[in-house]
Amino acid sequence: MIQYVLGRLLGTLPVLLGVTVLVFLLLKFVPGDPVVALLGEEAQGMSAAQLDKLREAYGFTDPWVVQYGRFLQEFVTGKLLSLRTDTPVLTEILQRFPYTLQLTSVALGLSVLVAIPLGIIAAVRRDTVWDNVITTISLLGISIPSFWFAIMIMLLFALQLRWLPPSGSGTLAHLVMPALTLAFGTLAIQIRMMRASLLETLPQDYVRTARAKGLPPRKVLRHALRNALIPVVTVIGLEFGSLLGGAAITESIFAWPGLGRLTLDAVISRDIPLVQGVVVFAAVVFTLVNLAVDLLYGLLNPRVQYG
Amino acid sequence: MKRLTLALACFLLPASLASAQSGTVTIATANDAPTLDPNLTFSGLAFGITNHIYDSLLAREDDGSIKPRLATSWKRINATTWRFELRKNVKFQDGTPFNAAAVKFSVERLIAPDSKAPGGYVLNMIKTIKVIDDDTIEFVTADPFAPLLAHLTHPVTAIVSPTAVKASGKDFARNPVGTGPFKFSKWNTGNQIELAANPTYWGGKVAIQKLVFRIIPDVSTQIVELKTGRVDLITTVPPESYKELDADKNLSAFKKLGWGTTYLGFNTQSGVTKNARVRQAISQAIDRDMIVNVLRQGLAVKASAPIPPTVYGAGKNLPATSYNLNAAKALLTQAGVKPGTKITLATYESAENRQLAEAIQFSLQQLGFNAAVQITDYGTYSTNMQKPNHAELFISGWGTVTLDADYALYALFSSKEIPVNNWSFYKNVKVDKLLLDARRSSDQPKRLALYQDAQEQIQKDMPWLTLYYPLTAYAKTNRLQGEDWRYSWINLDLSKATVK
Repeated sequence: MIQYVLGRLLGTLPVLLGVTVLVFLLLKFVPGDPVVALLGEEAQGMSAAQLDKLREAYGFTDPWVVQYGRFLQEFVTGKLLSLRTDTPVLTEILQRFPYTLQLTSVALGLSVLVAIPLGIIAAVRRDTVWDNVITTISLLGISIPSFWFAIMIMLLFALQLRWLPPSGSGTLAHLVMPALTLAFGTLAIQIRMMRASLLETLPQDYVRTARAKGLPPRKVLRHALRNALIPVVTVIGLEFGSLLGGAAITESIFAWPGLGRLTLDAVISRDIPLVQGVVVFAAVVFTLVNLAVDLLYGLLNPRVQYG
Repeated sequence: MKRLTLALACFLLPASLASAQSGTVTIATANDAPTLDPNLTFSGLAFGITNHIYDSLLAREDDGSIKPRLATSWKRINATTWRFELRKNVKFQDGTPFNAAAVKFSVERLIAPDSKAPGGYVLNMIKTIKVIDDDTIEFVTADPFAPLLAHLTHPVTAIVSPTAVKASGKDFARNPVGTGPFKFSKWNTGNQIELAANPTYWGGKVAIQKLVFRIIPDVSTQIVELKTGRVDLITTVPPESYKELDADKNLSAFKKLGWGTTYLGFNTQSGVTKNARVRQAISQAIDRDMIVNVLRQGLAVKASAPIPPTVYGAGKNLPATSYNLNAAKALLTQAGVKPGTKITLATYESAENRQLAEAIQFSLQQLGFNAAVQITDYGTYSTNMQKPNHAELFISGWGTVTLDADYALYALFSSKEIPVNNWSFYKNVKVDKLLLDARRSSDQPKRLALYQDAQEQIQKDMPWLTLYYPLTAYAKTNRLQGEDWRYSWINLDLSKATVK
């Protein structure tokens, strides 16, 4: 199994390299001057010579292959600096990551706790009122835009009831609304997956055998669940991996200092090294989460072999 | 159930305690400052905070006059030499004495040939800095430069502690030391920046003990924070929220004319707008009253001169076009423009620009143009604007931060500034000469007359239609009193403010 894990990790290296080339080229060929974008409207009034000087100082006048080579070298040695703040990209990311990790874990924990029972109920009580109500909830979760939901709960809990702080971070109370917003958005796919997967498992032979043996319905469900959970775990893993890259809109509305906002700011100010860093970081996290999910299969189903 | 309530109460309590601590003022800001080193940045987000930590040599007062700050008096000795007497017994927050050597150190950081400072151009007309004694310094400019005093009010010219810069090196960006009313205490990246009252401030006792800048990107979130009293001041108020905030008995909202201008630029070198009559026709087809009253909902003043009256040298009683669609159509026919002619209006992404672009597109269509709108991010937009054949029309804004006409008019209308700032590609030899003479003259009444002439000519040639002067608006909780808001939130002065 260690060999399997090492192999998988090695296999991700070319993927990550590809990601850096892609992001680098995308940002390179998008129109617009990085120096002007970086300085924003405040660059008004600057002379052409001044702008040229800055372009040279930042190394934007070199051929892109040279720029890419320099980027890769700095990235590997940890010397890559954000253009906007002149601090190491890794420092910037690691300052924000704990916030994103915290938010993602709570949000996903919350949605799993709600989605799995609801999905089971919907499958077991298929085509009843229960099923319809649950399906409607999941439909709402996927169709209501997160910014609208976020503003609505903020108006209710922060302004009307004054139970929660409207935004910011620091206490558990600050975490409630952003976590609810993210959880609500991911609820639908988990409920649907759980329901579909369980419906597929329930008519299978081994479930029928278990029932014929006279096992109580609870135990039969447990047998079925172990198998039915595999696709659900996959979906949760994917969701977890992508949320760890940051949730820009939710984080902006609730002033949560996570990776999503960092990425958004980096893109807007054309802070190329920072964008690169964030993307590669997100890719690494995503790969690791997926590997963890693959290893989880073995726990759920001992027949899964690695090698 | 009781236990649950208790648990819930413990869980929620920190939130309610966190609001409105005595002696603390919290200001919402849209984004983190990139640095707190005023010399090496040109970001408004940075200046909004560095202005509380540092002082520049001079300050612009509410009435437009230039007042002493770290310099107490000054004299133009000859056309190119200026002498400044510096304030005595001032210490930086780290104990370093403030003197002429410190001034020289800061200005050199800004204008040194190897400096990466983007704001270097604000003072790069200075060629020699002479330290006469501890309290006296002289600046010698390459050419005569009349607006030098105005430039020395710019936040980028703030004086930093030389000892602190030498000790922290690059880390000075996150460990700032100045002479201002507040000293730096804590920076929680992406979250908030905290300052504390400077007990040795030269300007007297500072009542506010702690000043917190909280980063809240979303304006509607900022408003909820203000209403719940967890933030004391917000520095931008959307027009649709102004009345509602002012009506709240715990809050007050204010609007003031600042240094900004919003304009519709014409490409005078290519496309149909090369023809002055077409520019005239388009100007007459745009209902600026509607834009000010309906779109900006009163948070703007209808304008004719290219710079607002707050700026020294702003033109008076300039000829202005008024809205007249029929006259505009007739003028366009005279100019030989056929109905259905294509025209492009470019601008950059912002809610305000989007609304404006749509309103102007509608006017252009009424006039008979087939008008397209092109909205991009600012970087792309400004790169495009420097190409001679860029869109016929463009919406943009300008902040005359020094509040001297030179800062706007020279950059925007001198042909020397094509294409970097003069995006209209406007070239008039007469205007070029007037602007250069005004820049050099030491005779103030003559400067004013030269600017008046230049603006009258510009108004005739119409490289721009000034749309409006946006008002700067802020809202605050009533526990904060005595704040001094001059032209922009960047200049917010809380050294005399009090808080309950």
